[in-house]
Amino acid sequence: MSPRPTANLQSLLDAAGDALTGERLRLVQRAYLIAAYWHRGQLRRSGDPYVSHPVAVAVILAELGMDHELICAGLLHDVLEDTACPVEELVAEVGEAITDLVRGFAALDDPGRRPADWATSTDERVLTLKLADRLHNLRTIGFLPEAKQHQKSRETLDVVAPVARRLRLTQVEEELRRLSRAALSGRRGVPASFGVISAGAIMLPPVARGRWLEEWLGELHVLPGARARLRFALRVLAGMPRMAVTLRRRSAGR
Amino acid sequence: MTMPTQAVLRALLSAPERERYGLELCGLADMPSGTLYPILARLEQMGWVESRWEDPETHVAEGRPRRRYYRITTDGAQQAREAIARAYRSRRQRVPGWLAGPGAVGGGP
Repeated sequence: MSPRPTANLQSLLDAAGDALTGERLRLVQRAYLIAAYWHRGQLRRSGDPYVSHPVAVAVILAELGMDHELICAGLLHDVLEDTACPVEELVAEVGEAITDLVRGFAALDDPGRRPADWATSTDERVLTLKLADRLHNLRTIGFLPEAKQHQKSRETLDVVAPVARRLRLTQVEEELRRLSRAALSGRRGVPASFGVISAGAIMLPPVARGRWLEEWLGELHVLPGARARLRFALRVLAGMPRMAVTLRRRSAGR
Repeated sequence: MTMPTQAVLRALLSAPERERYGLELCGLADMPSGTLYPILARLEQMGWVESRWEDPETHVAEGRPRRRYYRITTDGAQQAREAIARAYRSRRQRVPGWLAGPGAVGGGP
């Protein structure tokens, strides 16, 4: 069994839906190829190919109904900082507007460079990109060392979740808070197991996802010990395709 | 109706008034979480089962996220008994007394 379904271009195109056509579709495909090329050989801490992260971020943005520029910026958000991709090449390939979003994100990501009031002074579209990036990082936080988990979770509760609230991205805010509290709960194995479930829950229709994630998080907390939690998580994951079919039937039906 | 679905319904019918957590139902119906939750989601869509979040007093005091409770609805209990009875008949087995209805004498499954 493959433990974590990784995001790929098709899952992104599915999330973006029929609205993405023509030149916009080609731009998204090009952005994907650029990201896959420059992140080639890089791995996430989870062992997944690095490009699965920008793709997952782009999926989150597509599900939020963001436009093709922001989706492209989601795909490319790490290439300027974490790869040798020259900024001129990015401009030539995807244009100034998308490159500006990526530049804005890079400035935000560096605690040394960003202004103290970044959470209120930054462009809303760049902040939305930041929220999507943080959301996916929290979904996979179980792979980070514990001290880092706590630091990221605290920062999320104190600074990032309020940004989501201000931008009226309520579902994002709630999920950020849920994931952060899980990581701070101090119960062994909760973040790692919940990361497994959250990564799989990408298959579920977005409207239903929050409720089930919250329910499974509640059950993870009462299970005794890290092993029982992981076993529960892997079984929920195994049932995820069936769960997706069941819940889709409802979204399509009534 | 599949055997796992019947097992979930039997677990719920064993004490129809009682609310159960998902984990509890995994134990009662003897099935892994990955099998149980899609069945619960389906039964809820059909209106056979209803669910609600745990009251804040308990989970806040214990410092953990809230859990979700499930209970079989009146209509669901009736339909479930009929469906399980049909399954007995289709296997040419005698239908146990407890399936006759809420007033039936005798214990649960």
